[in-house]
Amino acid sequence: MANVILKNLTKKFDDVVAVNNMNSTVEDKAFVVLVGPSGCGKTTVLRTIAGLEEATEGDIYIGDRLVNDIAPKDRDIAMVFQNYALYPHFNVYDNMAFGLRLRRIPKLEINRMVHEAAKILKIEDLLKRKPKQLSGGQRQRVALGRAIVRDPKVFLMDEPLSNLDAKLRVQMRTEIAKLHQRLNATIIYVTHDQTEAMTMADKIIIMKDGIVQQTGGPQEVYDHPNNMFVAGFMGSPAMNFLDAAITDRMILKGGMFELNTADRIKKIIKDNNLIGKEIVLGIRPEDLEDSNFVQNIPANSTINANVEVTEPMGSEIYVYVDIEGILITARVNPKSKCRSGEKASLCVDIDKMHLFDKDTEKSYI
Amino acid sequence: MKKILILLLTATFVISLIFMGVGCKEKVSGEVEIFSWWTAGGEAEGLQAMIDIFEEKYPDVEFINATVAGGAGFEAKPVLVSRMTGGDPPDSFQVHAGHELIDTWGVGDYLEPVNFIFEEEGWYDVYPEDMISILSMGDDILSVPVNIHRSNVLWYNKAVFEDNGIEAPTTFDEFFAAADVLEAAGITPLALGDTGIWAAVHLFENVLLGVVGSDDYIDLMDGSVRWDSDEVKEAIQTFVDLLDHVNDDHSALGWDEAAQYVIDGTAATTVMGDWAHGYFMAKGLTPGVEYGYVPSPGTAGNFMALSDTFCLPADAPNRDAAIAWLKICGSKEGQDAFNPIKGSIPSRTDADISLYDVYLKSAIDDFGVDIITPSIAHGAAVSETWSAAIGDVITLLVADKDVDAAADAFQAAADENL
Amino acid sequence: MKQSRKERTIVILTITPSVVAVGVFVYGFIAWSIRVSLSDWIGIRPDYTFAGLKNFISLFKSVRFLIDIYNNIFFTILFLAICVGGGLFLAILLDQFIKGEGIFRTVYLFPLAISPVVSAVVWKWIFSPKVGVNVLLTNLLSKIGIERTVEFGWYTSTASFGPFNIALIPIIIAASWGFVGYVMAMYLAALRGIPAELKEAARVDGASEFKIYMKVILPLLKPITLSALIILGHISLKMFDLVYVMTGRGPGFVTDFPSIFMYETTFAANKFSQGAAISLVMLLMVAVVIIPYLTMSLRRET
Repeated sequence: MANVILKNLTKKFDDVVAVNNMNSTVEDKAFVVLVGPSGCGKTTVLRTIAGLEEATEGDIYIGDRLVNDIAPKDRDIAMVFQNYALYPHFNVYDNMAFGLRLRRIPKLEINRMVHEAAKILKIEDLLKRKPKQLSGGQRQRVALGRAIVRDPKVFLMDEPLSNLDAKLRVQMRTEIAKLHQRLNATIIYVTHDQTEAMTMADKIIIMKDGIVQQTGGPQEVYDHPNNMFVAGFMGSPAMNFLDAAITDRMILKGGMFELNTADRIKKIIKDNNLIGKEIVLGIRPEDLEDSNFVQNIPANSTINANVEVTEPMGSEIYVYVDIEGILITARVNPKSKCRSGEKASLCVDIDKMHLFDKDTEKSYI
Repeated sequence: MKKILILLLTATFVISLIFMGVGCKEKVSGEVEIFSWWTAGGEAEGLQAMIDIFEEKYPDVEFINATVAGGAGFEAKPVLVSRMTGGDPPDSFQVHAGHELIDTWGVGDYLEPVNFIFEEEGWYDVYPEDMISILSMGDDILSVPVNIHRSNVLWYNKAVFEDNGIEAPTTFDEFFAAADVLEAAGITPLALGDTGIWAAVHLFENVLLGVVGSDDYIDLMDGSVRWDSDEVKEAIQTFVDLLDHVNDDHSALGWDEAAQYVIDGTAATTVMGDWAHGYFMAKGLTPGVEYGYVPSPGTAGNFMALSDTFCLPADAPNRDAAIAWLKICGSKEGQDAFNPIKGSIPSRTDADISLYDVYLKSAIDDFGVDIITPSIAHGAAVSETWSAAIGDVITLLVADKDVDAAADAFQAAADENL
Repeated sequence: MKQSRKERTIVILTITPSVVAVGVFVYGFIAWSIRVSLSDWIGIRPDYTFAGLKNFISLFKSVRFLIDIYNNIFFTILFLAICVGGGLFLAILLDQFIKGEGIFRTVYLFPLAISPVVSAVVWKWIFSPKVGVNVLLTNLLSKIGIERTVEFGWYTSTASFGPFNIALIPIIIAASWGFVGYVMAMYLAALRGIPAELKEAARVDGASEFKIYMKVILPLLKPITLSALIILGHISLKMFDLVYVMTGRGPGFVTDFPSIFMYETTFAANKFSQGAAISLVMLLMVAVVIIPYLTMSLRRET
């Protein structure tokens, strides 16, 4: 097994910069998720690691070996494609055996390896079938099987679950996570779905416009986003952003609210010399609660606004309120009586607020 | 007195007949559809000259000139066959005199005899008996001829012959002697353009006539002389010998391209019918000046003939108008309008000689005195089925040059078709 | 699924005209041709006198027909090989996303838009021994200092390798020129339909570019190859207009085809019964190609 190191990796398509000076390390046996909106360059990174694209600049190391000029087949990697890319004219067995045969592995050995991989993925009954006789989930398993049968150092997975229905996606998510533990392999996984990133990753690399925004563990990037993009991208529903000014007495003052600050925030304000400045205030929806369900409401910690829409989720209710034309989401107690068109009072967990620079959108620490 | 009365009665009868005739003519109206494959230069203009006469005489009839392009009936023949057998005949169509007329159309009862036209127009007196006989099945005359083409002509480039100090050959010995001289000078002795094989059949029938003579030639067509006889084999051998002196791209060319070789002087001679004369004239050449003509070797005194005719389909939709057309085709006026342009001679004996050029005049003269022999290649001597079989034998012969095999195949074809 | 009575009526009403038309104009006429081929019909007037297999027997005794069959077989083999091989080659070249692909595609497809009669005339000139490629080759030779007149006979040649007449070569070239672009278009469409991921998967799996084409792309093109072979095969077995205009039967029938024989027998020699016999043998030859294909595709559907 092996680590993967990207040094100053840049990939350009003509004039378009798809990946801009990326430096990342994927530790041996780690499950690293590359996440970002479509067009952020995450798939390009994966394809460059695979050798399907050539790096314009920079170096790629797999297992401490520089692989820039090494063909995909010699990089000791396996790739799982978004559309599975199963060979339609081969049956499942041959799909899985194809790579092994090209490597001139003896027949008996191939037979053993294919059956072992098929057993892990519970597709032993399907070996004689052609891909078009399989369901989406079964094809996904075969695609995984084709990757694991080769026992590569690194697995590269390009949005492998995006073609499955929601229920299957959740199921496969856990299976891939289990597979990772069982194979004890390095996996680099690309997705645009932050939920997959959060649930599966040891480490998340968040990208936007070809630039890495933040790298870190799931909880770390969730709790301490580097910037407004990461803050908004990770977590669902997304973080709310409100313009606010900081008064002399360290109160956050917006058009419709005034919020006291907790000690943690005060320290940030002092450290960054923010008194009297305009900032962007970030509040996650779960840090807003219907005031009727909060005991001991601290002073200056509520926002009163008109409810636009409510979405009961069963375990909670999403309440969308209008603050100066911006729709703010709150996840409130399912017993809340908030109704659209009525006023609501939302209580802010003032300890968990995020402050961002208005211009650079960077997080104040 | 009695005499005067008879005279008077006769006169009124004749006059009324004339008026009746005139009246009839004026009554002809509607349309008439004439089917031919005359679309190329010369022939199309000749046809138009006859159409002009028709339209002048019968202004009420709409003339439909149903030509089907595509050279010698490549397209026309299937169209004609399907129309005739499908009960949708044209009012009249072009057909070669002889067996093509008789075996193909006459035997099938597709045609109405036109003896009555010959009688009305007094054509029995102005058409040679030989001519009428190749139009007839038994006593029935099946069509009206518009012209005669001579097909046994050796055309030669006069300058080439003069430059090499030789005379136009009249026998095969003379021809082969001349060929040696010409080949020494780098000139192809005989130009041939036999793509589609008929020009080779054309050459062969002239060789056959030249070797066996007109009596046996004619007897071959009814089986009284065998095709595997020694004299026919001699003719085949002569034909094969001739092939050694033709341009080696002959099978890629049409007859006109072969004639062009003669004009260009790369070849000295070509054996072709007198439509080649029309071709030379169209190229601006003058007969007797740039090019000369003699009967093909051994055929002096013979006139290998073919004739274009028009017939009267038995169920022609506009019979009256068709008869009117046929009367123009057979008339002196019609033929003298058509033939000088088409480059053929009239099939009547009373044509206005002054209208014809020097070559055609000589052909008219020869036609009057020569023995008329029918052409195989052009549907006069044998049925189309037999003619096609002969064509198949010659196709193999030009490639393998196997004289005995060809003689046997000729005899087999004769057996099958007699 | 259960059909309502109304639906069934509509189905019957819509397919009836085509069933009747095909029944009459295809199978009816095949039956009629069979009847004619067993008759003694010579001349324009139909004559249905029963003559047994006479026409077929004389056909297979005919030197010309034997040559025609050989010609057609050799023509078909080489024509198919060049069209499929060349079409695949061009398609793979164009599939490399080269610049000006659209122009090349149009150029390759263009011959298909030209009437075979027109292209036949042009090819006739090109391979004419006195004016065509021979002149070009002679000039090229003299450019490099060799003074020799090239005198290939091309389609006028009566030479042969065994039963293969080399005069067929120009016709094979002309016919392939017309159809290689068509095959290319079929292959190119199929290649474009193969997801790029499949190639990439094979590349990651360890296949070289050559192996990718051999093991992955070509097997996926198999249905196209089969369709191309069937389509070209029956075109080839019925090849008429191009050959008829370009060379006709040729000296010693070196470029003769059953279709030309059939046409001339029927419409020049007026031997309708014999012509029907030839057309039936041609039908059998085409059937040998088409029927396995049809049964196969029918079986695949059910």
